[in-house]
Amino acid sequence: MMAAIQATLAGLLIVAGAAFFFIGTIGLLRLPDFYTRVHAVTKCDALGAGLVLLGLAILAGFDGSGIRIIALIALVLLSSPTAGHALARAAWRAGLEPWYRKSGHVGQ
Amino acid sequence: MTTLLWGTILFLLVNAFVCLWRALAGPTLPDRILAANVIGTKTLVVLVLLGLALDQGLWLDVALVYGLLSFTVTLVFSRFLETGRIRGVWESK
Amino acid sequence: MRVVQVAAVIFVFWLVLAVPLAPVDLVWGALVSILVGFWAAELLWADGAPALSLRRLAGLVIYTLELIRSIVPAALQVARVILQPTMPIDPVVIKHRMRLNHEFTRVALANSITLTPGTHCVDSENGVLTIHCLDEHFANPVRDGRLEDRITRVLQRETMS
Repeated sequence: MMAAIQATLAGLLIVAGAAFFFIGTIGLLRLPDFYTRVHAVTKCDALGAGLVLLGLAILAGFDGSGIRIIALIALVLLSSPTAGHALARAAWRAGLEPWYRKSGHVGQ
Repeated sequence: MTTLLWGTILFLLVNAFVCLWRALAGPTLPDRILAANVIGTKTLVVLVLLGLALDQGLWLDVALVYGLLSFTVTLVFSRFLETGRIRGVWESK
Repeated sequence: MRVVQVAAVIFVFWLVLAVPLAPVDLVWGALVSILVGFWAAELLWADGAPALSLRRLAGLVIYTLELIRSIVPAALQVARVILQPTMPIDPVVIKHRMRLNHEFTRVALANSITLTPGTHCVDSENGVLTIHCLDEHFANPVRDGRLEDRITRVLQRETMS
């Protein structure tokens, strides 16, 4: 009984995570410019990886492997926004112009 | 359960290959770095999935080191993009 | 002193990696941590380690949980935008002058902005954040200071010193 609940929960989390990965991929292909793609990637990848790894941690049980996977979740959740910030700032300071729906439209 | 693990591995690999298109097409350097970063995250998850599917605990350590390296690579590329150098103080051009 | 703190952090990381713990692992881990600590103290926390208090730690934990929770609606929002064929976005770039004056809380604010729906920090200079928004209205929680209030509530009172 317990094992069945464990497996179901893990399966659901893995499928949900894979779905977010998929959305991130579509975003990477469809969105019009670098800045909008960073939006999609930082959020969807962090959540996708977090969900899949959480499912795997439940599957592995909270012994050695489980703790290692939780360390990986912490790593992904920390590194994803940080990498997004560093990359966005680098692009901004290198002078990459964002895409606007109406050309010449500049936010204040 | 193993079927689900292998299915997810296959799905993520296909995703990673699709992301490779963005890395090739660009059009700008930040786009390519971003695509590489995304592929890195997917690879990390695939490594953990493989570790569980093949019952090889060692793969989790590989995934951890891979994650740290992939994060560092993105930071180094960002720094290169911003300053034009890899070493030294992080100062804008 | 700084060497000890850095070594402690490295040792905790070692414990995570070594988990089915044998006594030998503990000894080796401690030795290697101290060695690496000597080398890394110069790189990590160049301006001295942050002072840890129990209250600050509690604030940090609450903040982290709130941050993790906020990723879910943010990702769903982005998903909704991406999956619509028309892609209803009209990006703007706004500047926001921060009231927060502490380096640490500013980093926290930037993280919160990035992980709330539709906004992503692009630059931070002299207390002014440059924020890329997928649509004008996503900027509202930043503009009216709601996000900053929340961070002040959780973190600032401990870190003001």
